[in-house]
Amino acid sequence: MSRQKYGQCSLAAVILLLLFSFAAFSGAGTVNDVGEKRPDILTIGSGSHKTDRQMPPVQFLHDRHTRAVDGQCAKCHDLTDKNKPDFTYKDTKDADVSTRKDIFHDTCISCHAEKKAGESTGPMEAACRSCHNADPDIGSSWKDLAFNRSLHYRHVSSDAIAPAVPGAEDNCSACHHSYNEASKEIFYEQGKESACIYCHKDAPTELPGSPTADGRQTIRSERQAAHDSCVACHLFLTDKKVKTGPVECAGCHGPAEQAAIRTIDDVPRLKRNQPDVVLITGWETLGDDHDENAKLIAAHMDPVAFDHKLHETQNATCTACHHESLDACILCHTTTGNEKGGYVKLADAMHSIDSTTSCIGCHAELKQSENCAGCHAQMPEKSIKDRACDSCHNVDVKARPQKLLTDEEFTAGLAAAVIQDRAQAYEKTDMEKVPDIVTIGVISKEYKPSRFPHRMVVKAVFEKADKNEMARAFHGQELTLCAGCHHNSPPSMTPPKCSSCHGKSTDIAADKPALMGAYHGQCITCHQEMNVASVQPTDCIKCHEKK
Amino acid sequence: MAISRRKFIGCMAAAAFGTTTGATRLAHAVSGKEFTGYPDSFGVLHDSTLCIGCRKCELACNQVNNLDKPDKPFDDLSVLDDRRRTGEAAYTVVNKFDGNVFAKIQCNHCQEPACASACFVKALYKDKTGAVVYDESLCVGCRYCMVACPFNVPAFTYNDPLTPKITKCTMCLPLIQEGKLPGCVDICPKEAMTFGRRADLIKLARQRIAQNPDQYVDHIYGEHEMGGTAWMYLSGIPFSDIGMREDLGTTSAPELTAGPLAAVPIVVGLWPVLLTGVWAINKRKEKIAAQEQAAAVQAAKDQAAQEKTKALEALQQKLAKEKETAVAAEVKKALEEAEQKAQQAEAPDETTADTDQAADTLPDGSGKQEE
Repeated sequence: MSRQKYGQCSLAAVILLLLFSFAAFSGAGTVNDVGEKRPDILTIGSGSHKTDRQMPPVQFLHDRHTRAVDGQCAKCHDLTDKNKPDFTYKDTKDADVSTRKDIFHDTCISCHAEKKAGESTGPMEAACRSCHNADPDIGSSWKDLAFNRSLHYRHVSSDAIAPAVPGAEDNCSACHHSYNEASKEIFYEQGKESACIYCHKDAPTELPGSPTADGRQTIRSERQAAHDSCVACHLFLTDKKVKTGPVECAGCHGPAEQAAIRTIDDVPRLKRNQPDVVLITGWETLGDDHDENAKLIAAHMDPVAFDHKLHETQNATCTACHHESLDACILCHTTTGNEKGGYVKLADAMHSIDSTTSCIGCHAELKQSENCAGCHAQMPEKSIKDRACDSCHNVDVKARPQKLLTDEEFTAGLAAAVIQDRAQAYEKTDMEKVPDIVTIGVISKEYKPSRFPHRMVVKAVFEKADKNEMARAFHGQELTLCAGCHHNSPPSMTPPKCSSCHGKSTDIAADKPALMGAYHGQCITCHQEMNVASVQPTDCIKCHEKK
Repeated sequence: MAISRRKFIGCMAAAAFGTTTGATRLAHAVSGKEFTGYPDSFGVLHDSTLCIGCRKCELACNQVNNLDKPDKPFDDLSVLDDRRRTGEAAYTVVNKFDGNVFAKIQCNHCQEPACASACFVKALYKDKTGAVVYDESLCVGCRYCMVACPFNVPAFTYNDPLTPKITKCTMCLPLIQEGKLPGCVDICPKEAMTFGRRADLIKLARQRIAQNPDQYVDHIYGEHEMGGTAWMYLSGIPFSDIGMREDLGTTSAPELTAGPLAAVPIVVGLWPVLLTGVWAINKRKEKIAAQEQAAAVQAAKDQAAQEKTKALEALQQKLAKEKETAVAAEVKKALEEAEQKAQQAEAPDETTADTDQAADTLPDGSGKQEE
């Protein structure tokens, strides 16, 4: 190889190397390492900069600006007639895109420029990319605020919140309202209080009827309505030097701040005329015609006694079940389904495993919680047809006088009695009869037999179940809990040995593990699911000593 | 050679297309049927949701295959902090992933192994049990199998300079043949692995997914990947999150390469014919051109010769004519002289003038005659 040729080759090699190293670096550069995470990021701009040659949107840090202007909302927001801030940026409400752009540029930059010397301020003119940064070094930690029963009660019980209706006993009217289509006004309707989301959806929706007096044509989004009400009220009370809720983004939407919100465990029941117990029937109402009634009753499952009061305490909000309104389920979800109910019929609304608002769906989810999953994670969720209907549908009405079934008080009493029976029926097991230490050595090879503290485990499981209303109601008796391990055979104080079903080899067709897999599967999976930190899955000698 | 006329023509057609448009598809059409695995071959289903990362499988593998003892003992789980791959002294390794999820790697024993396809001495082959078997005695150490394997499994005993070999999981073929379970499957305390007929394992996997839709990703890794593997996987999180490639497609490596490879002999056979043809045509062109040139030259030569002859003849005729004319003139002159002399004798003055005139004409005619 001549010297010249050698030189050319090495030059080419160097260029290639450089190219590849650049490629590698640029590849690494695309990974967006988010530095700070904030809950107060507002995005101004369309975000269409990648396609239509616009500048990237601005990631505006609201809390930082609130502090910069010493909490003077009026710096950026107009005040409405009721002295509440309008949460749209000043003058931009009805402006077109280009006017809005000019307003933002003028006011942002002039305010930044106004700041006194020495004070840190935002970007000025000719620093476009400082605000319009396509790859900002911040991420969002914004979290939806769960306005749960505890938080609701703190507002209900607050002296600072005065009712909108003078002289009212409760302050519900301060926030809750209905809309009068005829007079086009909102008004307070006692006993009709509902969740905001029933009317104020994720995005603004059309207002029924013609526009309101002030020209409004839409129902505000939940976000808008919540800020209009919550933040405005907090600001109002802050001005009056009354202790109130947060006005900064982070106060409600910051993860740390949310965790610090004081919760009240023993929340009194909401006053909304809701029933204590409900007899859930497949028919909507019974008429006067006895024959027709008899047919209706015969054509449907036995009703379910539903402990409404108990379920209120088990859920954070009413919307956990009442996803669209506080009406009875059957008013939308009819037995055959209709448009109003989204063609979800009553049976599906109650039984759908995939839905968290259905009975079975919600219960299935709860069964995967730490206390239940030890057993239930290893039990495939049964399909509806494989379930025992009578564990819920057990109110025998066929023998009752029909006349009484139209009487709400009577049906409620009927349901209450069934619920009462259910609670009392939970049969305990004599712990003395439960084997204490069980030595498992049938497959012992490398390790010594395991001395399994059977009674200790049983006791722990029983105690957990005893504290849980759902567990007591559905297990029916403590003995059922034994089936967590002693599965697929009837509940018994003397269940068959594991080895009567599980052998030396795996049964692939039945998906039945061999003995070793069965033992370890149950013990280890249960420990993992229930987060039993004292027994780690790989800590072999914790259960059986080495030979 | 047992090749039918039809197949031969098919091959030729394929090759003809292959040489011009890329052989893959058409050549593949004639290269054989899809292989869907030996009937009743075995496999293993690894349910990674059950794996607890105890490394017992690694221990069993080490013992069954009499491998070198590793630096750190098998009950040292700190090893799991690093991402590992199979090596010459570890036919299987367990790796730990985010969320305390574990996944085991070993040879997947492909239905149509890329390694066996790449091996030109057949040191690797798919056994009817389902195992991909390595025959050390045939291996030439080219390591093509290591390059070919989409799962990065085969390792090479670089530390053995004299008799290096490829090492990889054997699916414990000797044990299987004895009716026993592979070492790792046998030892697994959680039965995270199930050994059985591949077809049954697919049913088992489907059953588990169907019964626990929330616990599993709805996919059996290895059912179709790279044409299917004997070793298959279930996972609760995306397979890419437990270090498994999701970009492999469902076509086996041999199927991908069979087309172009099948075209090779035909292309190799056809090229000389084609080139010879091109050469012959060129050669013939040259020959014809040479002949035509020669003919043209000859024709030109003939024409020149003819023209020369004609010119000569014309000249000769002209000369002959001039000669005749000159002779006639001389004769006439002589006659006139004779007549003049006769007249001179009668009148001498007139005769002198006539003689000068005749002398002017004569030199011209004589000049030409000399030429």
